[in-house]
Amino acid sequence: MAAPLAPGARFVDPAVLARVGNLEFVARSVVDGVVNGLHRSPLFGTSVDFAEHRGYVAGDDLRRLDWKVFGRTDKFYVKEFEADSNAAFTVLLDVSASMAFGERLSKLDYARTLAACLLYLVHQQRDRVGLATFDTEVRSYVPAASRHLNTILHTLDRAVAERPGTFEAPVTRLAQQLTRRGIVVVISDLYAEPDDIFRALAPLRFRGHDVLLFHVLDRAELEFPYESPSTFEDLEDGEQVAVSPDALRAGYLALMQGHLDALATRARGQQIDYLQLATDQPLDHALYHFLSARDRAMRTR
Amino acid sequence: MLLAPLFLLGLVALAVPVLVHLTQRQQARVVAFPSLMFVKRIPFETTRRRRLRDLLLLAMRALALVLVVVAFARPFWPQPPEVLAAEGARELVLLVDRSYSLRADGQWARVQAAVSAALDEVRPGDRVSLVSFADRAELLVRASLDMDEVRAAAAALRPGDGATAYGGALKVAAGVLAESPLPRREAVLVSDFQQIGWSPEGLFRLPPGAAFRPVVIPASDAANVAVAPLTIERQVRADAPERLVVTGTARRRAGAGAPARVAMTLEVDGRAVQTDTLSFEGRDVATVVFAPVVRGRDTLRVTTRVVPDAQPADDAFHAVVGEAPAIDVLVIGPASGEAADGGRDYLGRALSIGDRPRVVQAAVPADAVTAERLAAARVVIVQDVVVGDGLAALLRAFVESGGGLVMLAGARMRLEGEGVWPVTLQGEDDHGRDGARLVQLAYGHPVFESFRAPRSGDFSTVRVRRSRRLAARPGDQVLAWFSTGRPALVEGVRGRGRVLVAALPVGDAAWSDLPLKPAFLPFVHELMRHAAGYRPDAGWLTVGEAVDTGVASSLVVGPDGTRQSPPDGSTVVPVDSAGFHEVRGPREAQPLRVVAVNVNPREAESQVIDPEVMRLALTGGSDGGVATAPAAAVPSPEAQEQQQRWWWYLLAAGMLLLAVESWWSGRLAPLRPEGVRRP
Repeated sequence: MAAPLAPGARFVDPAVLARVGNLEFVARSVVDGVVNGLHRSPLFGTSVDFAEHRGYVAGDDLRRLDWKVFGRTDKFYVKEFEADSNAAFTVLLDVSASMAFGERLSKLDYARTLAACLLYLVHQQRDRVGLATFDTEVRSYVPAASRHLNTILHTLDRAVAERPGTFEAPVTRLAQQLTRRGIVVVISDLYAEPDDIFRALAPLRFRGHDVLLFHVLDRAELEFPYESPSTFEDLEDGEQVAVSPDALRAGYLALMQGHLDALATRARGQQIDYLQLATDQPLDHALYHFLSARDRAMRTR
Repeated sequence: MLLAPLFLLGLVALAVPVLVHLTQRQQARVVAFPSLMFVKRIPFETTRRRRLRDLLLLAMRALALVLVVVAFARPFWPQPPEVLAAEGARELVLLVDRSYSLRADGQWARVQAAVSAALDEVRPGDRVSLVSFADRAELLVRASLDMDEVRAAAAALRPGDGATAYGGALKVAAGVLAESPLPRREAVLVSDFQQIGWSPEGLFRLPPGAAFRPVVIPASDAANVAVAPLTIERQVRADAPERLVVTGTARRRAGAGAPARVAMTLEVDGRAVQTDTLSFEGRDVATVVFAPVVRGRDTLRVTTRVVPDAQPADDAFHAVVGEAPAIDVLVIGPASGEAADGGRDYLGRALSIGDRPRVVQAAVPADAVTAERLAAARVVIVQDVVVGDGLAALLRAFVESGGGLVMLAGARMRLEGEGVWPVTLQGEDDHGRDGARLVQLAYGHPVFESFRAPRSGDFSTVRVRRSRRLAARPGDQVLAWFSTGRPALVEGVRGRGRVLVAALPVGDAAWSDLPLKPAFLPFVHELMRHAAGYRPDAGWLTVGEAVDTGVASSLVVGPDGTRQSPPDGSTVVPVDSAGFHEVRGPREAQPLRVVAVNVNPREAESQVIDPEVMRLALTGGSDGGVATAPAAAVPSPEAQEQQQRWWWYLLAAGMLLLAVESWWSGRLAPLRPEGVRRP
């Protein structure tokens, strides 16, 4: 059973949560805190199963009219669906070496905590949960199933970021495996060209998945706070570059901002929920975003 | 060529920048970063260009060190003597006249402008010496390459109260030029070329090849009234204080606005007591006689002054009036009980006449002479007495301490003792009815100098009837001879004093008719002055002369409060400003005495010398205005190196290159991303 959580625990620093070590405990603590404070939490999950017809009333979404019934009966009926308790929820977690970056808390630690929270949250709704980790290829894959949470958490716990990574190839491959419609959450630092990223995500959208893209970055990547001239080493391929941060900062920040803007724009274009997260932000921020995004999706559908 | 080639060993230091270059590349801190995809997108230079720039940095470091090392080796380019003579550096001696004639309106500004113009012509490598002069020359800056120093010294110059004297300054210039190793040498004289300072006697020439360039400051044509030396007539009465009649004189120089009448003021002890008017009336000299001034027992400071004009230095004349000078004479006559000749009255009466100086006589018998009586006198006259050993010893001590002894040998005189007498007394000569004449007088001697000119006193008519026979000792001077070939007057110097022995009692008309001749009176006075070592005190000094304080560790306080002490072991202090100077003792209580100092009035005269005459006299016309050096004056390698001074430019270039290299490598090198693969 869930242990009672002290008020305000959801605002606990992710770095502190990461040190707890037990992902289930952490996820439960965070999710319970979020859910307890949320008034519209039942509106999550996708609904695909028909429940009943009811008569149309003004104000109903016209897209919900059952045209076949209208064709047969010449009356307006609105189709009502029941929530699908077996919706598949899969997290694609980037475990490339760049995710190991972070002084107090690595991006990978933040990402797997976030993944654990999301999976736990979804699992509470009795949806099926799955997990895939990838770098240049798929490192581990746990298919979505309602009983796989412990396996998934164990897989998350063992994930290490130590190899170079790419985005397009493994995600494309995973998209081919995720045949059944569901919710796909991608957690990555997205060091790839936006074209490659969204070319990889497009098949997921084509297959009808709801795709959420969590872009995890360290504060240092966003603000480039370095001062003294140093040799910078790429965590993924080990390349070294002599850098004078003072002279490079402006250009770097402009390029980073351009990258973020491009990702956000392209995500909107493909109806992908995109959220950029810094590792010093509380996890519930991501959960709120996730829940509100589901809410919007349910409303507009 | 290199002056210090061993410094080239420093080139091994070239290994240093290579090591620095290699080590600096590896010292950067490694920072792990998730991805360099953005960093690498920022434009940067290619590795190839970076390597090129690294080589350039290395080359700059090496070149900078080479420059510094070569600079320390002091390179120079040896040049042929003719090139050096034509283009070499110049040794310039700038002589600046600061005599008081340049204090006239606007004159000093012209001098400063001329000095500045002369310094503007100085090129790098030229050496400049600065000499200021008036009555004395002073070497302010010697052979300096620092123009700021020379200009500062020149700007601090001010005209003084001295008169022009070129000799000292030109000798200083000749000395500096003679020692100079530089190929071109020149003396530039900035002056108004007053005639007073030029003396063809003792003329010398500048070193061969040295040029002389006069820069003439035109004499001021403004009207000027210069106060000439005053004269003071002393009116002494037995029952009244002494009265002084001061006569003031002024000389007018014709010019624009020359005044016809000028007020002259008589100042006594700093207070104006009388004012009268000098009326030139077509002449250039005017005098005024002031009403008598009473002098008490104190020394008076007397000044005649006219209203200030364009030349303020010569508008006053100062004098100090003290006690009237006197010579104390002690006459030693025959011992008590001996008969005295009557002839000495002529001498006594002659000495009692005149007051320049007065002669105060006292008489004592030969057997009553004491050292105290002698010490109170400046001259002792021994009037035909027997001088025993005791008296001879006293007289010897008196003479050697600075006294004057006049021996008048009569029939009784006998001299005992050794060493003090310039003669030996022998028998007596009777020259018969015609008598002997005085011949071969030493007119160059002070006693007879005033009789040198014609009609200045005739000794040829003197007839000597009797005389004692003198034999002069070797080394002593015979001042007059008898026509018989015997000495008539002999002088010997003993210690600080002198002994004069006459072969007859000069005041006795029985021995000669000298007392009856017109020359007798001035002769005996000249004799007394000379024997006393008397020097008339004019009551003032001229700027440039020296004050003999007579006291060790004394002090001379000038009219402007400046204090001067004589150098160690001396009591003489030169004075260089007009006015009243006070001589103070070591404790500076009250002034020991006051000395009046005046400017040389001749400086106010507007007579100038032709500068071309001076140039020809100093150079013999050999320089032709071109300062070419003789073959012997080809400068040494050190001088050539010092003249060219390449080391300075090399050092500066090396330092500049190092600074640029440091800035470039420190600032630009870290900016460039390096595509260095981790090994």
